[in-house]
Amino acid sequence: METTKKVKLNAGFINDYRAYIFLAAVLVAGLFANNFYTVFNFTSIFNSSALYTFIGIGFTLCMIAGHMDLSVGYMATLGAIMVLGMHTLSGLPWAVSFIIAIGVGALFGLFNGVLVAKAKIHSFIATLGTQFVIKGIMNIYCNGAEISVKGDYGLTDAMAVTVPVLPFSVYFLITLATVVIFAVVLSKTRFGRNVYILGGNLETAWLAGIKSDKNTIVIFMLSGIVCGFGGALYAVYTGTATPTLGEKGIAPLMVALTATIIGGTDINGGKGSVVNTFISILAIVAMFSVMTTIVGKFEMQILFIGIALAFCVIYETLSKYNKQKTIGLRPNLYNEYKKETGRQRI
Amino acid sequence: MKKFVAIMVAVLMAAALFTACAPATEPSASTEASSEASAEASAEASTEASEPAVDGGDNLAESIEMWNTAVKEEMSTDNQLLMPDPIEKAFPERPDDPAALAEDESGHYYDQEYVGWDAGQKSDQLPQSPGDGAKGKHIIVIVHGDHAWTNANMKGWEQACEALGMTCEILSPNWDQALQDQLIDQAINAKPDAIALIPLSAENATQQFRKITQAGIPAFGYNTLTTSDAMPYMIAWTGPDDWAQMRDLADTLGEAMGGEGGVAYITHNVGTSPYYARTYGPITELKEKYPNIKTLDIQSPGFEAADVKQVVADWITRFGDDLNAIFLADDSAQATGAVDAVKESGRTDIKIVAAGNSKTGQDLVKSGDLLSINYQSAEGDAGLAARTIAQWFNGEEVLPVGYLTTAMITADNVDDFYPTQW
Amino acid sequence: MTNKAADAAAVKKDVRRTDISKRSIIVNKLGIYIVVAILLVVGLIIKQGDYVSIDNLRSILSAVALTGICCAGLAFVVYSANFNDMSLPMTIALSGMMAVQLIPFGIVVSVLGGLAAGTLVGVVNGVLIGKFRANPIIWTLAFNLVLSGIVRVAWGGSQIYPDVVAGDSPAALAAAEQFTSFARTYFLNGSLPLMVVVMIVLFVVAYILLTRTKFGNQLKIVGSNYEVAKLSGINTSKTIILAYVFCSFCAAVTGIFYASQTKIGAYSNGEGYDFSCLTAVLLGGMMLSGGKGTIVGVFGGVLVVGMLNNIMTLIGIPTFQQYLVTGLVFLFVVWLNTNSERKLGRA
Repeated sequence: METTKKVKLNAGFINDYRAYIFLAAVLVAGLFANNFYTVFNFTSIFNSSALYTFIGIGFTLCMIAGHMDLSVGYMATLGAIMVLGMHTLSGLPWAVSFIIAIGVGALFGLFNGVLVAKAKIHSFIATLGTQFVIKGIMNIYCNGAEISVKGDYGLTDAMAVTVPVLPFSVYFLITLATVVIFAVVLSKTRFGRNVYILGGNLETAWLAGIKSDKNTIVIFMLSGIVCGFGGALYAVYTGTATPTLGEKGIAPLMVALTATIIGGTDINGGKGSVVNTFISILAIVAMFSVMTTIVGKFEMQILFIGIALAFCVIYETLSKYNKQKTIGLRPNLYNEYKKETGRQRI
Repeated sequence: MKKFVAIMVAVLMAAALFTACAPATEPSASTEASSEASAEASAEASTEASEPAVDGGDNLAESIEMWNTAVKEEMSTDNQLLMPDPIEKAFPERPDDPAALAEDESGHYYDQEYVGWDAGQKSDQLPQSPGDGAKGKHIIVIVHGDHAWTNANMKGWEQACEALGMTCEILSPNWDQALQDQLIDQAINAKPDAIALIPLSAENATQQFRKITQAGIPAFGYNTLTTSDAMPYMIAWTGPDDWAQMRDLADTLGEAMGGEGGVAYITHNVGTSPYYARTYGPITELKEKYPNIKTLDIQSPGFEAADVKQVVADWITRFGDDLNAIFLADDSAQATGAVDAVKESGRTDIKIVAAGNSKTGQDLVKSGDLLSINYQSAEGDAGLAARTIAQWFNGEEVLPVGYLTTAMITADNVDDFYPTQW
Repeated sequence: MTNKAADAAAVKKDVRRTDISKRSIIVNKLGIYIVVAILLVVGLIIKQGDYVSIDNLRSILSAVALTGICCAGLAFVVYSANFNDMSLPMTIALSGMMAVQLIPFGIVVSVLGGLAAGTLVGVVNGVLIGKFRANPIIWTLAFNLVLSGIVRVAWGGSQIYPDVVAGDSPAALAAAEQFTSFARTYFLNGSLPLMVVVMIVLFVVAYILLTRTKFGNQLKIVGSNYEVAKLSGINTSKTIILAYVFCSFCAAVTGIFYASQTKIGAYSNGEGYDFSCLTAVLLGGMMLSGGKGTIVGVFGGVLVVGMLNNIMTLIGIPTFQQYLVTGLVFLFVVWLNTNSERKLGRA
């Protein structure tokens, strides 16, 4: 039995750890970039990855449960607008503003969850519609304008404080803590196991007595909460909230989605991990940094992120395709037969 | 087989990333050389910081000479001066409480229009000019995103920097604010001699400029206005005076309408600084000078020709003969859509003006479909910023806020502005 | 005996409703046209005579023509249970840019080149998704990013103008003129734009393809149940490839009209078409689960998008409130569709 525990460098291993391999490849490429290996640069990479990480967690969570939450980007934007709106415009203390931002995220998560679980609308459609609703409500609230902290940089500067020597800012440590919490919840609690079972096989989940409606709603609410919180943190960190945050460039949603797929989450649900998503996000952000230094042109970045994603998809597809071809064949029986009879053909 | 494929994928990944390095090795060598040179220069500068007036030697003299010829001789694609003198703006008295004024009074937007009004109070963290000449200096330019305008702007930077003896590197965050923050960190990390920035967000700009200034690197803002909070953290801001240009454009329109009728507005992205300048600039101006002109409607359908076309066609249905003019915030896709709608319905009597200076807009002015657009040089925007930075390195005083020269392009003078920049 | 009687009594009477309410059937049959009718009434109330005027109808139709052309194709992808073609934006951009770039070789080459470039995207998508069963959303998304990178690198991120590409040769300039006039050609005294005609033609073609051909029938089975389709001997890969090719072909047509309308070929042409087209298709009663919905319904969905925007501008609803209304209407209609399908026991 010892041999099974030995980690072998085979395709399965590479596939399972592709997020880490991707990160390693980027780090190797970083050797060729000027000033890549500096504490300052790593602080910058870690800080930039924070917003994507929060959105990625929400997205991965829903995807493990077999759903797609397209509204994560807007949810984060809404969180950003709410926290600064409450603090700067309404003059509430930070703690209350944060609670309101998270609460609004939870509310829209609930809205999504009810649409998906109770009204039985496909999550892809339901969250697509919610996107419009959030966009409308948010812009009506802030009149399309940016909201800033208006010179109140206390908390902004506190978030940027770094641990001595190491490139970890407070902002990043909060992000890291969130990743750890979600990883533990998903792997160690009953709720976490339910999420995997729900995504893996709805029928089995029902037979196992899991309340699928209730759990689905909670999953969407958690996604809303983590996105709202992430957006709020981002707004405080940058000192500004922009209502168009989720729209321009490679939208945060796209980064989160790419990272989720590269991280090995199964789009049909039942498989995946927030830690892998987090590692992929780090790899993508580090890749932006390396590419900017080496190539400079943005076009290349978009091409490479596309190629990385396409590679993963093609690889996964082909291996599934090959598996499909051999489905029903019993290689173990064939091997036994070969061993016992010594013949190559049946 | 699987193992093989997997290893191939990993190898290809790495190889792909490495090949990306290949074309860049040559330029990066030169930038290294220049950054070494500049590192020496800045090291010298820091030793001389106590007495900045000390002459920078030959480099300074050469730089000033280059500056003098470049400013007079460099021309942009459309045969205008690339680096004309900046315009200084007169600031009227600030109303006590701008927010208390009505939305169609110009005082309401005082803080946006005269954003540099307290530019005198600069932060004491701002770096001092080394005063050793612009020649050999390396600038990192961070633009807002990919666009045809940006390409023209980049061309302007390269031309201007070459003429002034500087080198520049242009980074684009593709309209993504999170990415722009990251690029700023990277730019600081690369330790250039100066950073020029088009902030994506007027509010966030304060934090961005603050960061650059705190890192000890001179920061210059250009093109997009920031809030006045950001002004103390930059050496100078240069760019188009959107408000004044829109007021000129509104005057052209008001005159052509004979001071009577109704105007409808299609805006820029709501909440951005061009949104206010290109919507409330003309509204307040027309209200003051032509009180008989009414504002009919304000819509923000975005920048897609089909959407704008529908909105304009709907307006023609809704307002009928009350609609006499349309004010557009963009002279390319928006103008195409609006002109198509007007032509389709046969209401060619509707006068259309548009903000901007693209080839599409200029062609439409030439064909008589647009009444007027405003000249706003994309290359000149870069030219003015480069000129200001070089001037600062040469140890001269620079205007805290310098505006681009402008002109109204109408059917009479449109031929002077060909070939267009983008 | 007593035990049996007790058992029989213990078995509760089945009180679940098995009859189907007439309302559900009506809702299901008429679908989106109920909304069309409501919007028509609202339009007539607020604008009386003007609302059904030729000018206004033309404005509604020509505004949705680009989306509509695209939707006629996208409907096939949705129908085949492949969710959405996320590579629509770059298909539109690529075909537009190719067409503009090829203008110096004459208008025919330009249009054919544009169509071919766009259709090629569909072939790649179809093979990957139909033959190798890649996840449709993720694959098309990845391919969209790759294409976006290629187009940006190839053209250096700049936009190209037909008359600049044409240069000085008079023949090429004439071709450029012809190219930009596509989106500005009208029939019947300027009341019927060419784009609208093309849209209607493509919808008719789509209708015939989906209901009157072998391909359409097979697609219905593939969409409803892939395994059954495979087991019953349908060439599923071919069917799905054809669906993608038709979708990309329609997107390529959109791309050419888009470039012609804006007189620009740019990588940003078609941005946002992935979701806006899906919205219209879903409004029209197509179900993401595949194999359900009609082309007539999709046309209704396209109409609703146009009429909704039209009425909101006529009433004077500001842009932000328009987002909210669009979102709520969308969710409501989708809920109505899902609900009536469920009540009929079909979902």
